[in-house]
Amino acid sequence: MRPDIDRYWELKSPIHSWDPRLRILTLLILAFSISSAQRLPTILGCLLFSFLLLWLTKIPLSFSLKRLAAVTTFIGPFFLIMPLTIKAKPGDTIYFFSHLKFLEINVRGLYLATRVYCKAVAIVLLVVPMFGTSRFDTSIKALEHLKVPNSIIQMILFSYRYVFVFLAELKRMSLAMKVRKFTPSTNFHTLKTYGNFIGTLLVRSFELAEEVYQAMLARGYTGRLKIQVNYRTKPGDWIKSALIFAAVLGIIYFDRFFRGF
Amino acid sequence: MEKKTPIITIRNLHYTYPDGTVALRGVNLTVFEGESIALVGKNGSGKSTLIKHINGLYRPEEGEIIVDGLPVVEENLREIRSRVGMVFQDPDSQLFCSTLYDDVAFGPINLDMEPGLIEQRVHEALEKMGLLEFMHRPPHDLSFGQRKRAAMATVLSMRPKIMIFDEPTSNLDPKNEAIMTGLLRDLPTTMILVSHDLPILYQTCQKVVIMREGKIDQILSMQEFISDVNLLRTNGLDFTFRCDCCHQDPKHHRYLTEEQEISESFEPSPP
Ligand SMILES: Nc1ncnc2c1ncn2[C@@H]1O[C@H](COP(=O)(O)OP(=O)(O)O)[C@@H](O)[C@H]1O
Ligand SMILES: [Mg+2]
Repeated sequence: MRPDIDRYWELKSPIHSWDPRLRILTLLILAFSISSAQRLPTILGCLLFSFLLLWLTKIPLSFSLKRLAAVTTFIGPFFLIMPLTIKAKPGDTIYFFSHLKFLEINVRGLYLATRVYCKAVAIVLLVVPMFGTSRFDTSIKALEHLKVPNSIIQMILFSYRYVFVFLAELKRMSLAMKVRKFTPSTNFHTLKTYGNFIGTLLVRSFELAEEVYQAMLARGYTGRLKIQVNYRTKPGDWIKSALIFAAVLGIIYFDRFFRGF
Repeated sequence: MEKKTPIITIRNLHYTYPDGTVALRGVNLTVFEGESIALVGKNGSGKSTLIKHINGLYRPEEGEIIVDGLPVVEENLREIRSRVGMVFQDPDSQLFCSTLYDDVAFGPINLDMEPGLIEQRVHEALEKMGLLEFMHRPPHDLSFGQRKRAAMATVLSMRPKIMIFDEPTSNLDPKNEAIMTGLLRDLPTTMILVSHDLPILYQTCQKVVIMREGKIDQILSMQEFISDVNLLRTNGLDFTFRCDCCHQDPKHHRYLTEEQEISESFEPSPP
């Protein structure tokens, strides 16, 4: 399994045909406006909008949903932590158990966690229309056209590459553990083995990533992707961007000024 | 006697890693044009560190290196990297694009070749490696043996005068090992081969350079080298197992020598 973000770059869709430069810039602005949203109804609206864009790309939903696993791993615990830890404010609903006085469950915490989670999902889903609808190098080159500093482009390029190295290494090492009949259980040995596993994995992937970089240098790489892409902006591209900008304004208006319900 | 032109000259090379590990302690070596050199030595003796100096991936702390008349210094790096091709041990370090074509074109593109020429070079390199049919496939879909050859193609497309290989046959099955050996033997370039695999070295190299603790310990001919069992043992050369298995069952000789057999084994392996 290789989670290439650009696996479906050859599909034909309104998002695929959008000039990568405008596409990335516009969707980035959309992502920022989503991250600025405060109210749950707005955030749910954004979530729907992300799904709509995703549907327009014609990329199988399962491909995008896989990406959500990581978000859930990171943000899932918030649902447990936030209700227990946020500071109570006047008007909060708080549940507690009569015999466990220290364990207070603040409903506002649950609400906050939901907001954080939905926002994260809405933004992560945008990554697929943003970077999954043209070849990865074309997208990277577009960033260069958008005057993104080269150091940042290099960082994106190598982080992306590092993920692959990391996953390949993860697979190789877990196979090595399996053939040696390692069965996890709840004891110190298991914990120690996992500790070693993670440490070795990080170090090995770092070394491998370094070697990938050396192999690039050895073939004349000088810090800039030399591919030639001729981007052409069609009138339709501006219309697509204009529609998204309208949505951005809608999000901001609805979130800040609309007090209908 | 034919006249020999030095193509790589290394003088008094010292190198210490940033963490303080002293890896090279005064290496002196001359490689002549057209030679095939086996670079051997125990693990940690400094072989990989040495070869990474030849194309300027590491910069000497002391000493100098001259490649094809050019000192290995910042201004010459671009030119030197076009003349020195390096194939890394792990093929996955060399394959990172979405298609095999892009990976093989990466070097020529960096060297600012004309688009027409790039295409020609990519075809030529893939054809030589028997991978033409996989041109538009993602490299990670290939088998390990094919990826090893793909990594070699990414360097061949630059048509370097010197090729350096770090463990080109490690982890290969006998069939792919035989293919690789055949390919190495047919390379017309000057070649440096780092390996622990005696049969492959024997079939491809005429001269053996032995490294020990960051220095060149001995330089000898392949004949002298293989006749000294102690020398083979102390340098961790992998040979006993192979010889045993050949004696036991000559029919399953691991090394195909017939050109025919080699070309047959180019058949793509079933998925
Ligand atoms: N990246 C590194 N950082 C620090 N020390 C290193 C690094 N790479 C290799 N070394 C050390 O340098 C010495 C020479 O290593 P190397 O050139 O890889 O040897 P060989 O290829 O012959 O096995 C060894 O002692 C090794 O541990
Ligand atoms: Mg080595």
